[in-house]
Amino acid sequence: MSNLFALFITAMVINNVVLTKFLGMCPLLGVSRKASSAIGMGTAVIFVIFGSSVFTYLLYYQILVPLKLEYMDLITFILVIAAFVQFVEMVLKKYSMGLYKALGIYLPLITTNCVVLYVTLVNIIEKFNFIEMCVYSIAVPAGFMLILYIFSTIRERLDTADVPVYFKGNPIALIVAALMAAIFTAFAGLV
Amino acid sequence: MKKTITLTLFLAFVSALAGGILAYVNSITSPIIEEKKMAVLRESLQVIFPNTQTFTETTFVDSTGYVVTVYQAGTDGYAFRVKVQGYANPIEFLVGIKSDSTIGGFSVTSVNDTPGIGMKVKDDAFKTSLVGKSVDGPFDTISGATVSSGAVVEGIKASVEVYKAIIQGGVPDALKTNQLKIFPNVTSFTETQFTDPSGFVLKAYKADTSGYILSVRVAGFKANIDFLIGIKTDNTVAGFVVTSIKETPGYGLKVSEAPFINSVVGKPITGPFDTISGATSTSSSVVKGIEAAIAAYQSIK
Amino acid sequence: MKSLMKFSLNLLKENPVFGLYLGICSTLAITTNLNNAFGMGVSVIIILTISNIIISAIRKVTPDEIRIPVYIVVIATLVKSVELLIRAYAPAIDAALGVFIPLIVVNCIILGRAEAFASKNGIVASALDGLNMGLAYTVSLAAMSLIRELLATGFISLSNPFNDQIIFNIHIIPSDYIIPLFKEPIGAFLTFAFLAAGVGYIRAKEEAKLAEVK
Repeated sequence: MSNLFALFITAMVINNVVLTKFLGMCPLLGVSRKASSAIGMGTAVIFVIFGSSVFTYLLYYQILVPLKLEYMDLITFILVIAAFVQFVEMVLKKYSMGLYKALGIYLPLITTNCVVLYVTLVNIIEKFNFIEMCVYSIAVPAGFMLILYIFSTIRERLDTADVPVYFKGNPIALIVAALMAAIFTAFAGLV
Repeated sequence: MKKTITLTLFLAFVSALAGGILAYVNSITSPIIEEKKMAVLRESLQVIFPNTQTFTETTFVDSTGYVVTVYQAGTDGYAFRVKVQGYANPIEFLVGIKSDSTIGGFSVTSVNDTPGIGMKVKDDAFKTSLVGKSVDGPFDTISGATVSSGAVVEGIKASVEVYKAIIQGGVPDALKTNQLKIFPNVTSFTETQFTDPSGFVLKAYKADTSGYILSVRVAGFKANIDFLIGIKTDNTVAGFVVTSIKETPGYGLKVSEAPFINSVVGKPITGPFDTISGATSTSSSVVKGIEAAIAAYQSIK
Repeated sequence: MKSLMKFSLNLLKENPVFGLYLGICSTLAITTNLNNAFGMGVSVIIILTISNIIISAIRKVTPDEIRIPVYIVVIATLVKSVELLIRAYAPAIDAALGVFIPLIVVNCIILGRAEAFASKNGIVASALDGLNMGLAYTVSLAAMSLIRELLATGFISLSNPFNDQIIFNIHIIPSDYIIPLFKEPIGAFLTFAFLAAGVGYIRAKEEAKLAEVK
């Protein structure tokens, strides 16, 4: 797509990664109980995805392709992501202990967050140029953060509501997701 | 410090091992994957150009960003893989532009739009409104133009621009390519007069001082067969190139294949032109055409 | 008979998908038909079992600090190999599952079992655990796909991925009564929610029964 704005809106809202591609469900169900941690998590994910995308993009086109090692993409990408998450962990520990504690176990789990690997792979599959890659790798996690935030506000209310006992917790969250997915289809045709 | 080094080395060792295993698996699977990709590509492009056997990817310049890849379909024309944004989802399609600058074919490869509205671009009515039209348009869409059909038309217009750029860029035209196959070192071919009572010989070209090329058309079993035959100044056949054929593989199609061609090229024009064992009506027609070409050649000299 | 009961109970109790909520991304995304479910399920069984075997085999020599990256490299190698093999020999599955095949690398089930079981147990036990979990995963996928495919298209169909031949294609619900919504994301979330609630219900009843026996 030549239009960068269209690319951004499509990636963030119309083809929202959580509601249309089902990625990022683990942190969605796990972290999204408080609105404040949702924003913190979302920002961390945007940073990790953008950073890893740039690194893996350059790694792929500057090293793997010239050496005809394209099949090493999966191993190298996931190692780059793991290293980046470690880096973010160290930075947070030093400068924002509060956020570090709030994210807890979910910070290292960003490594296995489907969204991160998905974005790095799609950057290659869709043959984006550098600018398109940057736009996409910010738009997608921004969409993730949007859903994470909306979810957390809804769940804060759900936790005090009268839900049938077997639906308490995750099943009802999934039904909320179903409704949100239906609502978001209205965005089709926006661009 | 020592610990970090041992750790890094261990990881590096494991990664290297992993890389080795993957390299092995890759070496086994990649030829099969390539072959499958080629087959799928050929299949999808033959929807547009059913008679072409080889498609080669060509470089191109496209300012709109809609055209993804361009394939040269031999001498038949060009096929364009285009991706545009429909109403809700991207639409991918193939459009072919024949060497006579008309739309040769149109085929949607991927669409996921509103049934009855955007999905109409997949219908035959849409396709018929496009095929055969000259590249300058106008491209009427089906009555009730939608966002999707509008987008597809934009994509087709982009392909036309790319096609025009390629043609003007001095890509050698089909005729010259084939003439050069017969006399590779000749720089100019000029049309000459000739006499041909049979009516098979369409045109004659003087290939500088190397000889002559005759363009012949005969009736094959299924359809006409066009070929070029080159005759050197020493009165031997310089080359034989079939430019258009629609015959049965294993039968009529044999005249465009190596054994037949080898039996013709290099022969003195006095003949005889044995056909391959198992002469068919097609090969006898072609031989008659060759004999007519030789007669025409002699009429020039 | 009793071990079969125990096995099926395990399927529910420690069900990786509906009980522990692992590997949900792929579950929701690909369960639109039975072919996908088996394609993904069998791939995961193979990868999970072999990865468990390898990780269990090297558990004594792997330095503790870098065990996670090492596990990841092992899993990634297996996934990429499977991806290449599928692309070469069963392109129908590759076309259907697409980017979700490489995404098996971050399927929490595989890394989770490596960390929780294979790194602490013998090779045979780890292999069996891999098979067990993989089977449970496949059954869960098949359950979701069956429901979604049936409700959305009215058909249940299965075809051979290696040569595209149809094994069976049964038309159960007439076309007037199908609900195409189940092919969409909303259908995926709903089916999952109800299955999860259902599994929770069965588990609670089993636990109550066991508590009574005690």
